[in-house]
Amino acid sequence: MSLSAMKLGQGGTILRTELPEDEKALLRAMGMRDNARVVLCRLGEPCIVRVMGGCGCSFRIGLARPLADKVMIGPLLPAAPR
Amino acid sequence: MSFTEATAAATSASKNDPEPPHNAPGAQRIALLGNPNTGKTTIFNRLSGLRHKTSNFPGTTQEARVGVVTLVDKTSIELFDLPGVYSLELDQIEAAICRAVLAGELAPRGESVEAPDAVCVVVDATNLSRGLMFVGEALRRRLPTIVAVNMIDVGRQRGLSIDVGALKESLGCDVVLCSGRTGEGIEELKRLLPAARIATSTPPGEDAGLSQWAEGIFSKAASVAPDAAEDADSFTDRLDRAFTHPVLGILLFAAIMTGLFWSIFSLATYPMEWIDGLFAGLGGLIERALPEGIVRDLLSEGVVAGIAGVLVFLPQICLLFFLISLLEDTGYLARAAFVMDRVLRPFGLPGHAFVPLLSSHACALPGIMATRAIPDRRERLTTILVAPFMTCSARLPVYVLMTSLLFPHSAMLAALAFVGAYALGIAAGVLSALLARRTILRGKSRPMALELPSYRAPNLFNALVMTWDRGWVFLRKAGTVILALSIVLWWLGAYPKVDAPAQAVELRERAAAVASMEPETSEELDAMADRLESSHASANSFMGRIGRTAEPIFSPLGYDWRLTIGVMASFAAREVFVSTMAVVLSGEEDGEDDGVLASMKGARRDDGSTLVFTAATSWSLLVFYVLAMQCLPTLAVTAKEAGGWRWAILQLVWMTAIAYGAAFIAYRVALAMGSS
Repeated sequence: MSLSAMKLGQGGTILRTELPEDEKALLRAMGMRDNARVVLCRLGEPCIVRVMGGCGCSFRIGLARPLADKVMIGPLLPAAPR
Repeated sequence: MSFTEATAAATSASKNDPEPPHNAPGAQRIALLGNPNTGKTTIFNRLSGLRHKTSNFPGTTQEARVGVVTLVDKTSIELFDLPGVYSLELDQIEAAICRAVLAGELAPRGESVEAPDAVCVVVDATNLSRGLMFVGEALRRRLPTIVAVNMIDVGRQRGLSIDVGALKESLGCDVVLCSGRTGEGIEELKRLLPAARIATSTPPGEDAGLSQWAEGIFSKAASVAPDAAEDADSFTDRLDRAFTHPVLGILLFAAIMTGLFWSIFSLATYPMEWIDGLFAGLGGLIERALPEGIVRDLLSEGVVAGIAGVLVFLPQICLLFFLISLLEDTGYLARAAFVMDRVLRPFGLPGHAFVPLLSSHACALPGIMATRAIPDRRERLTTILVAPFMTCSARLPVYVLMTSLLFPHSAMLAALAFVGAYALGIAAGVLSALLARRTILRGKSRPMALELPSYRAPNLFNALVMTWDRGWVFLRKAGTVILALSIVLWWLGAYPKVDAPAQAVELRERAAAVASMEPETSEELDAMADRLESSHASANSFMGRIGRTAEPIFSPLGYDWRLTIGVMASFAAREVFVSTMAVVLSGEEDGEDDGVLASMKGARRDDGSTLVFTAATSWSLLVFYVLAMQCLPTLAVTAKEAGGWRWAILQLVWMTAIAYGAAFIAYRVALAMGSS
């Protein structure tokens, strides 16, 4: 499902981003890369996601709806073992 | 080498195998790199303080800051603050600049073009895994590197622990844990900067390999306490929900902006009055000290008035940037950008444009300078071009005069006309933006993707440094142009000198005759003579002659030669219209004096019967002043911020054409409705 279809507070793992290469590269550089774990903090416009960086670290990204519609999310996978 | 060639070379260099190591015996010039929101600016300010200068990278409007860092042994190193980027490989102007600087193909204006001796990469401790990706890209440049893990204080609050030794060993270069906010680790950073070394290994080049490399280092070096609290996230969630709510978000934004601009209006008034008073006093001092003549006039009425005309903008500029810097530091402005993006996006403007456009309602000059926050170049240029359509405070005296002439007996109708003028300016601005984005600045509007930094208390020192920066840049670049133009305009209005008219001479003779018996009558006669001489001098000055010559251009709008003088003088600064008309029509400079207003209202044209300010003419003038570009200081800043005078000329031509056409229509419609 797309990021914009998630429920508030729902977690997921980014599967892929169906965007032009330059927008995909920017989101990737910002931390929204494939297999990144995200939690939806706010629905709508903007869509705010918390990207889990490991060790309790996280950061928030706000996305306009057209971008959120193109980020495909799968089930939340557990964090990689340390 | 041109900038385009340099960025092409840098792009090519980034994709090749690592070049042979670049060894420097001791670092002289250090580039500061980092993702946005890592506190790089705070680190820069901590290291260099006010010892920095601001210029730009040649061929771009991207700002470049070069600071001087004094080390423990009293030697100095130069610090280049590079634009914050998420990746050195992105297809963005900021990333291209970073690549070119690191490759030795570009340097800030005034600096020699060569590769930096070392690189300091600033990463956010609370976002280390992403930061390590960026460190990997920087290490591939094979320049001596040191990594500053900033915001370590915030990381500790969240239970984060970083093993510096493990990080150093994994990266193969020095690492410093620091906090730009508290100053922790800054002295150690200063100590290690000159001894930066090339990393002992080269990270992988492709994205997947680099990601694995970064994750591996992160898992070795970072850990979190088992009882680490997550309260910060729920607090942030609550604030985000409020600040980005479709209704509450806008209300909160309106309240915060009202507070910000009320602060600017109310607080800036005092220093503006001091500056006015100081320079009026200085002008008077010069007039008393020097003999009558061109030197005295040039100094008191040209130079001093011109400098005052520049400095009077400073309080508003400084206050605006100080408060915006504080707001931005809290993390709020990133949320506000999204709120306003919904409103502005249909017109091709980004959410970031709201603060510059709102600022322009006070004065377009700082509003245009505030467009630096807009990341997309086309969107930034569009905002710069349309910002002067917003009704600024300089237009208000004209609005007051016109609405009081049009509706002398109805405050309600005058107020509605006032509001209508504001609305007309906003409508013209957003529609012009839409047109620009469909034509000369065509391009896809990128949907917004913005990192939302954590909420925190603002850093006062950063705000003060930013304020100093902006004020100094304004004085150096725009101030010199404004001063030169003010002197030219003074000269046009003051020369050539003409003999007093016969009527004024007669009044002075009568005043002299009754001076001893009727001193009050004598004073009144002298005052009348003064007004006649001022009016006569103004009409016969170069500006006055230009007005008479240009009258046919403005007569379709309903203006005679007197109004033409006023309109043309206003192209330097709108606020001079009322005082210019007061001088031309009555010889007095105080346009707010009731007696002068009455004489302006009753002034007749050359035919002796038609009023100068007919109703149709007043509507035409009101519309013209809403839409016309009549501010040379703003044009100077447009040229600087947009990257060339062609943009300023385009702005002048477009706004003048719109104003002329709309004023013509307003005049003809008013005439047709019988408002002659």
